[in-house]
Amino acid sequence: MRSIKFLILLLVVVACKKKTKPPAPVTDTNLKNGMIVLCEGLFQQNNAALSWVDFSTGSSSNTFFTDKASRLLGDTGNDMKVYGGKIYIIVNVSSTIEVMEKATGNSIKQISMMNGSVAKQPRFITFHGSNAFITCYDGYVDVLDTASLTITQRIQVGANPEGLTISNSKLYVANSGGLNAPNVDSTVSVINLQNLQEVTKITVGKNPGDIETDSQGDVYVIARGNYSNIPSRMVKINAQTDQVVTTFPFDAGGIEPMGDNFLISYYNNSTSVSNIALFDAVAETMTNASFIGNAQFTTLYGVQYRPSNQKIYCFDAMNYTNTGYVRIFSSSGTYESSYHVGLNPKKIIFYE
Amino acid sequence: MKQKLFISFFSCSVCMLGYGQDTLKTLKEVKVSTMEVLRMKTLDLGAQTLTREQILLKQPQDVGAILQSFSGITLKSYGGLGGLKTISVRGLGSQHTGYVVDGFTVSNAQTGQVNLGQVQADNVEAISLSVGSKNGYLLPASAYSGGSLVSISTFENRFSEEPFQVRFASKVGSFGQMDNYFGLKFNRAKVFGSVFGKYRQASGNYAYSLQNGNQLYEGTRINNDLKDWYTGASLGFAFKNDKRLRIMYKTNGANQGLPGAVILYNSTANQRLTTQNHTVNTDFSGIRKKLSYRFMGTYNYDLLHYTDPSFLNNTGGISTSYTNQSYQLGSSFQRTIFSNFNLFGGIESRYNTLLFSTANSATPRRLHSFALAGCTWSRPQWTSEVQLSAQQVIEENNAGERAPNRLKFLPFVSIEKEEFGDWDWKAKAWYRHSFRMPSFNELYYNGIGNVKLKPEEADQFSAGFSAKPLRKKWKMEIVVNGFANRVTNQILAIPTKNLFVWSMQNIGRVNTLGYEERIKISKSIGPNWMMDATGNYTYQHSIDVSNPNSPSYKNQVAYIPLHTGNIDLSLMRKTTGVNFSTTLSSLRYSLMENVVANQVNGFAIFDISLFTKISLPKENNLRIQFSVKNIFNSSYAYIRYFVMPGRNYLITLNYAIH
Repeated sequence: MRSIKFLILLLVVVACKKKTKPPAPVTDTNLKNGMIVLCEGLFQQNNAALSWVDFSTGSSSNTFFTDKASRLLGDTGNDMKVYGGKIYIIVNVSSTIEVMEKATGNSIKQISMMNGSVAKQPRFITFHGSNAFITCYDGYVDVLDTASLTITQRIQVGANPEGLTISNSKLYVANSGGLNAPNVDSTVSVINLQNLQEVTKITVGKNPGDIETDSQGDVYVIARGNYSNIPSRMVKINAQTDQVVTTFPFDAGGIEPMGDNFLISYYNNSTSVSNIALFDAVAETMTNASFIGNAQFTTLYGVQYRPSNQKIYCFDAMNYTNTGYVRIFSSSGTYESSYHVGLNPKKIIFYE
Repeated sequence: MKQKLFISFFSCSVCMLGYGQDTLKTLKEVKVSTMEVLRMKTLDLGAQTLTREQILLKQPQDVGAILQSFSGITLKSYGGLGGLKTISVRGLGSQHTGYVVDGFTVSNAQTGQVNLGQVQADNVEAISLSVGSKNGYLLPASAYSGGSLVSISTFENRFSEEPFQVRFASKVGSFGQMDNYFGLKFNRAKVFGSVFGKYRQASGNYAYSLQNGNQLYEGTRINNDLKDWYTGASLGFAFKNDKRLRIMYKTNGANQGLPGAVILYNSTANQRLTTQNHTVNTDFSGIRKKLSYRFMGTYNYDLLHYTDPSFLNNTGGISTSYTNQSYQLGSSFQRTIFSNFNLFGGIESRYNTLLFSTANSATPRRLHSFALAGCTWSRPQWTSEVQLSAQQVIEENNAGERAPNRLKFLPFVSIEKEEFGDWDWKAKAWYRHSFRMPSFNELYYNGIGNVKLKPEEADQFSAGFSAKPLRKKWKMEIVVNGFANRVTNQILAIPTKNLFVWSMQNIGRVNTLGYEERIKISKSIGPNWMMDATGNYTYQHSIDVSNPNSPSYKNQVAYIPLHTGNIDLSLMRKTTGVNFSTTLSSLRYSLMENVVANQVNGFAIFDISLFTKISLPKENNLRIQFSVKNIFNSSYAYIRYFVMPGRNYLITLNYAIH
């Protein structure tokens, strides 16, 4: 008798256990006056996410992708850009590219980035003509046809490529070689965009990462050094000659163009100090070495400039394991406001 | 002499079996009445014990599965046979728990913790978990001063009375599991010898499903296979004047896939681990008048080889090996000064080395020495115990910076009152300060280690009450404990450089307020039926108090559930019965911040098994058990995205002579 009662109790417990989830709100209305923030998440937690911030109400939701696609984004959201009315999200560890309609945020396609049984581990994306170019950690740049959304070609580059940029009809790819540490790579691959062949490799310094083109077509790359005695430096490449012209003598972690200027972000891991410098990329001189200082951040994780309202959006990763913030500054570097978003915010797409 | 030998034998085996708590008292009590000891000891507040018969009911795959049925425990299992399993006791990290097998310390300086998924249970005669006073007899000095202690007594390495003993266990289970253990032991008046061995294998390719947004994500665990084996032999000699010598050698090996977390949309997994281990243990013990003593020595060699062919570097993947060696020497003693006052103590030295196969790696070496002195003082109904442990750690590293040397003094005090009558009861309160050294990985691992790490410190307060109402037809036991613990200088990994490179920092502070309850009921129903029920419940309010400005300040610590529990119910008619078993856990958070996105669902898992025991002539016993585990096929995980198997089956055959 006792065991029967016990069994009944068990069944009741089991029956009560399942929680029913509310159905996802499906809205096809056009998005406006807000931003989508890509939150990288943490390795092996499948918690990359998109936050939707509504500027009119100030509210934010970290389940935007799941609300639209009915599934999770995946593991380690690394890059997000808009091209031709579509949003492309590079999900590194899940090894996928998520394609969404920009106007509504609706999911269009998930592109699996597998090479047989090996994950290509895509990192960053850029666009030219009808193609998207995606760096893959297995040592290739993949060419994606943006009409058919299929990979049409793979271009071999150096080890573990990170950032990529276009100038003078050439694609510049930063080969980090990060997975060979301490024997990292030091080169930038130059790819001819007509025949999609690697033309040359330029030696820039250890562990190249972020790479950007200025308003005059010069290419700037961050050689991140070895995180101990070799510092992280910005290096300028002349895109006409493909030669290194200058290595600048200040700490630099990331580059974000702001008109003719660069916002140069740097987080010092040993002192935990965050800094954004203002660099004049035309005159090639430092305008303000501490444009936005440490007092505004716990952990500076990146910066993005919004030309339409001339404001600077900075990412604060807090301690990386707690949810982060987007902190907004005027173009003169004055703090204005913050939005609470998901884990490790990394990229923004703005809606007017 | 005969009488004394018997007492020492009995007290030794009883303590090793885990009934004993305060070892000195056990010696004394055995002289009074063995029954009294057993009666008193089952009321133990600090120690929880399971013996062979109880363990067989559960048919655990490993020692981790046995420990899960104790209160005060949080199990972390990464799934799969042989997969990583650790426990944390009362909100302290897993490295605060010490392990002793047959009186010898088991430790790993590289990781600082023991993988319970690879400590197998077929040879276990008794297992106990003790907090507060440590459960055991003439244990190594190190065993007394940790945050908690798991003590295991095996069939293989003990003197027994029966002249000839055999243990055979064979298992066939889901996901390709095949598993065979064989042990044989002979015992004479002055010598015992045993040989033993085990082989097991499993494909581990279980199907799972997990919630992916509003969809169900279904997959099969891949690269989760295991082959492992061990074998060894043990010899023991008894001499005049109660002197005993034991020597044991054991070797084991494993080759297993590491399935990793389930990564959405990317199902590749190619990492593998092979391990090879050799252990030699020896001890010499004796009793001389009021002094009992023991000398012990251990050598351990452990080779671990890790490969990841899909790591995207220029050399086509990772292939790294780690060689750990440890040498331990120690001695322990107990002495009765007056009939109600006992002294005990010991010294121990442990020398650990680690070699990484990678270039530019550290070559850490550590000499960790322990000294312990303690006393117990008993009056009618009252017992008090005081311990002081001193520990010194000396570090060396030929390739680079070394961690600083450490010197620590660790106190323990307890007071206990007991009364026997219609209701036997006992009340006890204790305080302990303990620490754990950072592991070699935490100090020296390339790019991750931090040689400046300080030891992690723990303070534990506990007060509890146990009672045993005396009834004729049924027996009942209740234990209730409340505890307040604090961990300072907690070692946590945080990302530095970038999100893929984490480093160790002493940044954590954790406060735990907890409560545990254990109830055990036995009842005879008619002449042939017997019912046993046990229930455990643990409440752990374990909060992060590292930084008042952090968003996770005062949030529940990652992977510590607020509520855990288990219920076991067995019903037996003569020698055939059925056993229900449940494991319950409330929701947990995968990170410190208590937000919905970090929630890992709670679970209730139900197992059922049917068993029958067949007694054959000449003390030959056969036991057959059929178990269905996770009968409702729940999808659940201890660690986020390390999915556990759904419904699975296990058939076990146990054969024993004596």
